[in-house]
Amino acid sequence: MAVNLGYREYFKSDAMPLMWCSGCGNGIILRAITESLSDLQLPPHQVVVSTGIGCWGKADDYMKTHAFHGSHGRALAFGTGIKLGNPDLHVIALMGDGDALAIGGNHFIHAARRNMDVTAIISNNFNYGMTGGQYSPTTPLSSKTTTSPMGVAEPGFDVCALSEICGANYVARTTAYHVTQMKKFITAALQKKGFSVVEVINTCPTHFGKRNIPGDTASMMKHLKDTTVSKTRYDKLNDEEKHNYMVTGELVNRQRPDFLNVYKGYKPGDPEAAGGEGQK
Amino acid sequence: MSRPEGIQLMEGNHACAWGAIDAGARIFAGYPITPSSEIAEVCARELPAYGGIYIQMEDEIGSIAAVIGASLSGKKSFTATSGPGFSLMQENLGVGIYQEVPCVIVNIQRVGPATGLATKPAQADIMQARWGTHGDHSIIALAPATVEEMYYLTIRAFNLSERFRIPVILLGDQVIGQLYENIKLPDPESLEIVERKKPVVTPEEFYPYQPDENGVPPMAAYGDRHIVHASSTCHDLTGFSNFKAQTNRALLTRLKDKIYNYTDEITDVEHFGPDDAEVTLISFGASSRVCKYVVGEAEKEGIRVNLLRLISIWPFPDQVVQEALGKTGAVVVAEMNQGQLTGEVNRVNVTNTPVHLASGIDGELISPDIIMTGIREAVK
Amino acid sequence: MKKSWQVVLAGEGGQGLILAGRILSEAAIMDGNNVSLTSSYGIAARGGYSEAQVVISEKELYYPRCASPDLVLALTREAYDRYVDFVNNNCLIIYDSNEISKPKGKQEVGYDFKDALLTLGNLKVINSLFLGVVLKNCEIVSRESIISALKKNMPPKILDINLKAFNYGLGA
Repeated sequence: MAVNLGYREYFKSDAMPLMWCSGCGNGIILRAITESLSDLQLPPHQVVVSTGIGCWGKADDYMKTHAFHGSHGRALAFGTGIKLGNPDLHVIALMGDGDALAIGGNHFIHAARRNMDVTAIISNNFNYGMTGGQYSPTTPLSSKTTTSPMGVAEPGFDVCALSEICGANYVARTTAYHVTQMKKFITAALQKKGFSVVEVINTCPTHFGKRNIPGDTASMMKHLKDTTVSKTRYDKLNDEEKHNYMVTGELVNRQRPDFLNVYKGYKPGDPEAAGGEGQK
Repeated sequence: MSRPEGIQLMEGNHACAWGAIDAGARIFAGYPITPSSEIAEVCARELPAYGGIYIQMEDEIGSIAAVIGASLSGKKSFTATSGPGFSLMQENLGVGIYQEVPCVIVNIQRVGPATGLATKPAQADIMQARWGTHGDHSIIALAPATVEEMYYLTIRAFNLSERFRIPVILLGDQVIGQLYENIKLPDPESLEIVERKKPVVTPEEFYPYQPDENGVPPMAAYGDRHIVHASSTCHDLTGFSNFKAQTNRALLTRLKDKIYNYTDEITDVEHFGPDDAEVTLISFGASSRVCKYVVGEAEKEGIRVNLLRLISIWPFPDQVVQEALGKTGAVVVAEMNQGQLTGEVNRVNVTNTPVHLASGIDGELISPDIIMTGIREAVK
Repeated sequence: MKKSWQVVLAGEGGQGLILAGRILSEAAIMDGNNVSLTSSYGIAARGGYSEAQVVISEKELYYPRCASPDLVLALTREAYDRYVDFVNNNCLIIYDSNEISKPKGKQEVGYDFKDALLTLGNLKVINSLFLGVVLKNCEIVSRESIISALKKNMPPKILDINLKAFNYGLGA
């Protein structure tokens, strides 16, 4: 293709300013996604973003690709259908932590198990930001939120471990601070056949951060830098130290065949197969 | 297996699946539930040979979501379920209506609420089909009464959904879904199949929710150069979020008008029996078959009875029912629920014609006795 | 041949009642009739009360159930008890004489299915056997059609023994 597609071919700049709070990393993730699309020179009409409900679920408002904005938690289920309807499309599901893993948890684990060729980009800010900062399924144990004033009594999911065990082909974790790494992982995920997950640890200066991370917006960003380590470094830490750190990096990169690959590999119409007409 | 030729003994659910395939459906996303599962089974077996895909989703929420997604990618798509699954689908049914996504949802009704008298027949999802999802909206629902109609009304359901860009509900019931009758599938070439209207403007001039003269926007697919933004949030003709009062009013009005202004075109009824009758039965689906039988039984007792059978239920054919009410001495509504259709008949009863309910809630096909009792009461 | 028939095949799960209903229905279609076949069975995959109802007519069929059966096959006590007081006096009941010792004396024919199956040496062919017995007593469909329907529905491996059972029931 002769024309070079810059990130503004994907990013709807006339929709600016972004609706997210200052200090929120969603804008950074959006920029990384559009730059990854530009790096890969994917034509915007061959890309569909599928969003759910929540702060990050508003991301489609800023996209010039095809877009689907549906119901809370269902971005992957809709995205599955979009992919089945046209397997040539690049389908990107943009979900928050509550969206992907609470109300959408069932769709998430099954999309991973099925190994649907869809990329999930999860903006994990450890709480429900849009509804006022209630605890979510990734909120760490004992954190304070508007619905856990004494501390949350449930441990949070490890999104990447969950993705891995459910069968995703590509799993990576990064943070809103690690911009270069984020773009690298998103680009890799978009190229990966099968289910790919990029978890981006995000700030929420308005709610979660305010209640749990000391300091201003800038120090929340610094907190992301200070509390994350590579897998190699993490493995060298003792158990007590491990408690204070999160692993970033490419955690899974494998080649299980994706759903459509397996499905299309079967020969249609074996009359001796189970359940002939009237065998009820 | 391949497409059955000649006169066949066929189950209603099988006929539905073949109707969908002949209408051009190529994606089925569903979750097994009795008494609808045979539709899924036929699709799983047959769709691959048509280049189609069967996918078994994690639940009915995911099923209808995948159906909507696949339709937006340009493939005719459908799902089949029964009461408990239909309840789970209500959330995304609203998304489909709001985003104007053509698709078909087959509900083979069984006794509820909850697990109910699984998996015996009922016709008690009439109002759920109409108002199950939240908010103001329109819907189209068709009620087959024979195995042959399971086939032809499935095709019509797809045609209407493509024509009006709306999810259409095929409101079957366990009796018809699992009934076997003789049927001869027609030559698929002989069928009239409606395809969604594509945009005629250039991609640059295209707005995904710019309605045509019927109030229905021409539809591009994901993957086309015409960029589609489909949103469950209040949107203007660009498809992007818009929170203005007039945008909301205009959208809700158009979504209503694009269906209600075409009620006559959608309406499908059958008049059975003598023109002039002392008692008119109003019924649909499996119950209406029993009504036809009862018309003959009543004649033996010297009572002149006819039947107005509603083949389309929603939008409710107000005018046709009003005319029937005005031409008869009394009406008996025969339905396998506690009076959901009766309520609609009463709503349009401007002539104050006596309306009786013959209600079959025994978890089996409504008996002729129940309807005869209603008739005798009506002529008292 | 009678113009229309309402036939109930009743017993318990595993006796092939629904497949037999299907074979009877297909035979009736081959004879040029309209047919409706309904079945009912419990939620258990095996056992429990089970029945098939077949309505056959040259005319369009409205009521798909047997409002007034012409023939009831009762393979269990429960099946017999369900129908014996329900049917009118013109209805023929064919019952398994091992299950019902004291019939109520309507139009009834007892048949020793157990004995016949032991003679045939195969307990699984009961549906083909009772189809033969039914046809011997009532000419519901033509013999040629039912043999064609049996051939269509039975896997080749077990077709011969089923045809043998059918003919045995028919007394041929």
